[in-house]
Amino acid sequence: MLDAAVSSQPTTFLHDGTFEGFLECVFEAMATHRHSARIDASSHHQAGLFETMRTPQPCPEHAERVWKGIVQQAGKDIAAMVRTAFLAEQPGLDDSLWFYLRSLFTDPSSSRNVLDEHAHAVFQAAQKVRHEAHLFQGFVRFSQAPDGSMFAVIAPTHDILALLGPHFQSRFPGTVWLIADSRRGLCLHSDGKRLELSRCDPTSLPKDAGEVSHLADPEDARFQALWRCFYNAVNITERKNSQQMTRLLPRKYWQYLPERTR
Amino acid sequence: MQKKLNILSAAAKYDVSCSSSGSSRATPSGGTGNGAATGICHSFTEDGRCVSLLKVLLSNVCVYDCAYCANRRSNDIPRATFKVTELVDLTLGFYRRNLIEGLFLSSGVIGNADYTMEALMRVARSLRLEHRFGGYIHLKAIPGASPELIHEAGLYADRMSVNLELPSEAALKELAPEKNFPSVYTPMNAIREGIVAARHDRKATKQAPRFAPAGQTTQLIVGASPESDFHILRLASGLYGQQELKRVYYSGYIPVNQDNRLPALLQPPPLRRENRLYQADWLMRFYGFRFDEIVDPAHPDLDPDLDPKAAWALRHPEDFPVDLNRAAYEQILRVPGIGVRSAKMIVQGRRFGTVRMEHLKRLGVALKRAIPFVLDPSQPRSFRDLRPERIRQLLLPRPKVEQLSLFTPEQLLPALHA
Repeated sequence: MLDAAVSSQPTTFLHDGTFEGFLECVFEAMATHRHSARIDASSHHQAGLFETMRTPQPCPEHAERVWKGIVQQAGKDIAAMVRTAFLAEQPGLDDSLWFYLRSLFTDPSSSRNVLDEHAHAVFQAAQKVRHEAHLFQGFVRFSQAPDGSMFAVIAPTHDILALLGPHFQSRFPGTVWLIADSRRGLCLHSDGKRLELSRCDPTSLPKDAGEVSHLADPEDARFQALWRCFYNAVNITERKNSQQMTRLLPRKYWQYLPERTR
Repeated sequence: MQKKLNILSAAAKYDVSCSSSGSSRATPSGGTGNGAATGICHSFTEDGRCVSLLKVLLSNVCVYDCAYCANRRSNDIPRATFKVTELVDLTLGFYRRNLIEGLFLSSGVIGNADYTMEALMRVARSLRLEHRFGGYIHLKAIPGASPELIHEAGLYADRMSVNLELPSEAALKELAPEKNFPSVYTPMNAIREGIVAARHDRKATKQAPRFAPAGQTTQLIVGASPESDFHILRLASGLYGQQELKRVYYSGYIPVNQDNRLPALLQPPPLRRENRLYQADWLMRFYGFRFDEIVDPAHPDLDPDLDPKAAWALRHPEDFPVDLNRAAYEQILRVPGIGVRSAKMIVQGRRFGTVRMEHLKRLGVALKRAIPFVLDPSQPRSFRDLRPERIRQLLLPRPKVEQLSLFTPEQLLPALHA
């Protein structure tokens, strides 16, 4: 009697914020037939009054099985899209992802149904993440450290750091570089051949472009000055359009851009 | 160095081309840099334009005296010239810091066209061969330069361009007396031939050298001479067709010189017109419109108050409303407020169910513009109002109406018990 009452309560599966953790929740929800369960990250979940919360035991095998299932049902492209969408770290998106996966497991053809609310939310989130990763291919500002290696700090809205790796890896082969995400305390490091993602203390990272320049080689200041000079010189004053500029280069990204900080 | 950069980048800013797209050059072995096919913007200036390439002139010394140009011979301005090594160091230094995608190099004409072209080519050659630079290089072809030099430049550049600048030969004669149409079309033809030949050779063997793999572009100044939009779009359409150009850029004329052949100084640049021309250009390149559908001799100029697609739709009420659940993709693409992405999503989505009005906003359709032209199955036919003059009113930007105040001091009524 009591059991029945408990199981009729809405259940929320909580994960640790990683994609594997999310997949484990999906596994758990499917295995226990809780198809109307919800999924969220434990770090920012706000518990409802009548809600049961469960945190599945970490189990890489379960995550692996769900991942393989997605690839098998819907193909590599859709699976990669789901992984990208998860990086958006958007509140409520985990539910949409879960509902999307659930309908995909019952009917693989629905994986491209843009008319479905949840599918559309997932597509949109993946698009946002890809777009921001593309923007940061341009907005990363490397400075040269005294030892000759290059370093940069960014503060993106979505968790895009890992997506930048292959781009800079192939662009600067043989160069040692490091990009740090000061919002999440993540570091992406390349020794010229291999990429490595690690955690670091966000409070130890520079807070703006000025602090970045203190860590750089003195020679670097010359190029920063030339860059600012160029940035101001190519502007056409008669065509001033600050609204357009802030639309394309939102204020939230100015922090680490030397040309936009005074 | 900073002074030089200041002069030579300020002198290059009126060239609007900025894109770094279209080339997917791989990083040379032992070198730095590659081409991103989509192009990457690294910053945006206060005028809202993207900064993608280090856009500079090699020199702002010029033997020509074109009326519209800030660098003309008769202007008394500070002049500067980069050394090849200076420019190469600057490009590589910026590139290593991820400030740019590559170099956009143009120049005033030093001595003669061939001398200048060779100087530009030497910068590109040094970057590519000595420094094994794989980033983007956009080179200007100097009008009147010999085809041999252009051919060598094309081997190092990702994109080349010759600026037509003025949309008609008459205007060119009047405003740029030292230039003529053949001096522009000769290099343009040489570039086209190089591109076509390289494309053909690379089909046979991938080892064949590339030639300006991102194609060629040109720029037209709008508003410095009296040509109509019909004239300009007909010209652009020809350039896309016969010359196989990748892009035509339109640059609203900004008066930089006091010259009685030109619009007066301090007149604001025709930005609205420039914007409408770009919209029309997009319609030709991505939406399957012919130039004579967008403008015709009866309507030679674009409507400044309406986007060209809406203007076309209002002239063709017989083609509307469009039934999004049945119409062909090409027809959906012609509905105002529906772009390439939304049209594709509609076609993809309708395989799963009926596309309804409530879906449209989510699919990225601009409802205000699209609704008058789309068949809404849930509404009775008699509710539809398809008179173009009515729809036009709906689409126009609303004039700002000032709210009347209830409590302006003059209108205060006397108190009743006075």
